[in-house]
Amino acid sequence: MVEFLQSIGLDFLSVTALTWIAAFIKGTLILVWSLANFGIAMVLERKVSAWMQNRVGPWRSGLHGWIQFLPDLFKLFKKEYIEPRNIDKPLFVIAPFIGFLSACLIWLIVPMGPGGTAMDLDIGIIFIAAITGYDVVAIFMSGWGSNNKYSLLGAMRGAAQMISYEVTLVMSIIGVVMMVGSLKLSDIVQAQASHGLLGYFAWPQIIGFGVYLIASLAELNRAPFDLAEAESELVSGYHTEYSGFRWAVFALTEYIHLVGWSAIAASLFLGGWHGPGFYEVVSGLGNLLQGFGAFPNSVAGAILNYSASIEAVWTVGWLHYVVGLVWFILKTYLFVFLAMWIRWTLPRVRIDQLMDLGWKFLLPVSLFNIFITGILRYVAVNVTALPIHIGSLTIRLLGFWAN
Amino acid sequence: MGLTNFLGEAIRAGKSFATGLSITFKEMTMRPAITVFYPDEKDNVPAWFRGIPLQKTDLKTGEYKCTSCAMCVEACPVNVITLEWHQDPVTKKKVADRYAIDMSRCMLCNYCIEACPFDSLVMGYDYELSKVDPENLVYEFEDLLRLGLKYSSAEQPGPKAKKNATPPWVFHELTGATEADIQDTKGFLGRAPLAKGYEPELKPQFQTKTEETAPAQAEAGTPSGEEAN
Repeated sequence: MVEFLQSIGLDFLSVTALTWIAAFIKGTLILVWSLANFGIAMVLERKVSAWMQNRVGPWRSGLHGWIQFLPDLFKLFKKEYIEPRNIDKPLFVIAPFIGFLSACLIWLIVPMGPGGTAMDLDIGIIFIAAITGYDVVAIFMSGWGSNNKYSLLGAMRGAAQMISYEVTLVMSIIGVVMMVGSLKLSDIVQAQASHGLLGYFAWPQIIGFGVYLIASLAELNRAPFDLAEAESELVSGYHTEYSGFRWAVFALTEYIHLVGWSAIAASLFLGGWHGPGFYEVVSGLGNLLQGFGAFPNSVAGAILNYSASIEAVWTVGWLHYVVGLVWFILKTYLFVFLAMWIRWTLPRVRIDQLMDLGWKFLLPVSLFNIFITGILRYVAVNVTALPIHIGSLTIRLLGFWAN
Repeated sequence: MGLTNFLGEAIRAGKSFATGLSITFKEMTMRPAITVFYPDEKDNVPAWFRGIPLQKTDLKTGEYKCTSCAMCVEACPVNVITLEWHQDPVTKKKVADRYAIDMSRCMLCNYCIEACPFDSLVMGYDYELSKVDPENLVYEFEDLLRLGLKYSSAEQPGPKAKKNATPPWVFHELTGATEADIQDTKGFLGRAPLAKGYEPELKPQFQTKTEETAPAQAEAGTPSGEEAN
């Protein structure tokens, strides 16, 4: 970013100043991106729920109701801030914004394209686990500060649930980290580039993938694990006493978190921004037509020549970034849709069932996944002269092979 | 034991999970929305719909069917039907002076229709009955007759008529009564809008003893009226 600013004629400023400017731009972009995603995800949630219940959902604002989030936010913005008596005011006021911050911080390290990361931290995965802790703090602060039994119960449930599922979540990601040997998200995405669709870590890490999906739903406080705001039991859980824009910030947090976790899932397990662009499709078609070099023919040769001529445009130019972003958004929203699909299908679990699932099922399974990943990785890395047979082929196909 | 149990439970959970997901996905993709965009388009109400009680007219003779027998007044559990009548000195028949239903208190229970021995009352299919002024919720006899025109028929549906047959809307076009008749929120319905603070002029028989005056007595020359409500 600093180099980019220097290249567009800002090189008369010092590097420190440019770093600050870059940080400001990045922060603004992340905020705008988060809010845009909130709008899309919120309307999508209402639309998906409507479709599943044979309704049409919001319909009046914008084209078929697709800008419903704008009037909603505006309405909440001009509503009154109701404060109950005997609240712990600093906690009450600051809690939603801490949650919002933790949700937006996820976007810091999400790789949205080649080099398209705001801060490519070396400790990427640990950073995610760390900022998730902020959300627990926000939920507990709001519940404690509200001076309301329902809020406090919801907050305690939320804290217990999120802390216990954090363990499982990190354990399920460790398999991926073992495959790559790096905590950096951009490294993880890059490691999935080589084999196309088969190179995605969703295949070799299918157990970890499943555990991640379940645990991230619990971490997001989403149905069927929305015990912290169980409407039928706790009014609205930790945000019962909130109104106006403070409540809206909780809604923002929820959806930004959802899209953020989906983006992380897409980066970890579905190859992030890697996807076939036009160049890859053309060259793959050419390769297929000539039988991967087995019987060269003129048509395949022409297609391959054409692909070679457009290679520079599609792998170096800005189109590369556009394709990467499109694929990244598609994969992210696949997970967003999956979360909504599950939400509108399953009923809410009980708190003991939730804890059972977390500690007695998901945690052992994720530990087993780490175990089996370790063994297969060891075999694949150390036994280089392994003859080709079924087992070896499986390991190769599953992508455990170390290049 | 432990592990098989564990795996069996997991597989069972996964199966039911997949079943649920497939059901919602099918609902989402296969079935169209059943939403009726209400103010823009209106759904047909079922044949048993209970709307406002209306007075029918015999379209052959052009006379209303009500004979002021007051069975509906008797049947009404909430006493919203007001009936005043006098006897025609020539034909010796009862003539309704005032027949009014206070729709602000009517609970649409259908008892008046069941009680009516002359098939004069019918429950309308209209549901947009809200008014701006509560006074306008009192439907007078002419309002009820006018709104009831579209439910009136020249012939009675025989006992062999199909249960789910089309309701008798047949004279809708002939009478010219429209949906707008009942959906005017101001509630004029053929009469001038009631003034603010309007109090109905009491007939002599409803006045208290102290208000009773000699001219009023003279006006009420006909035999006794009946009062309900």
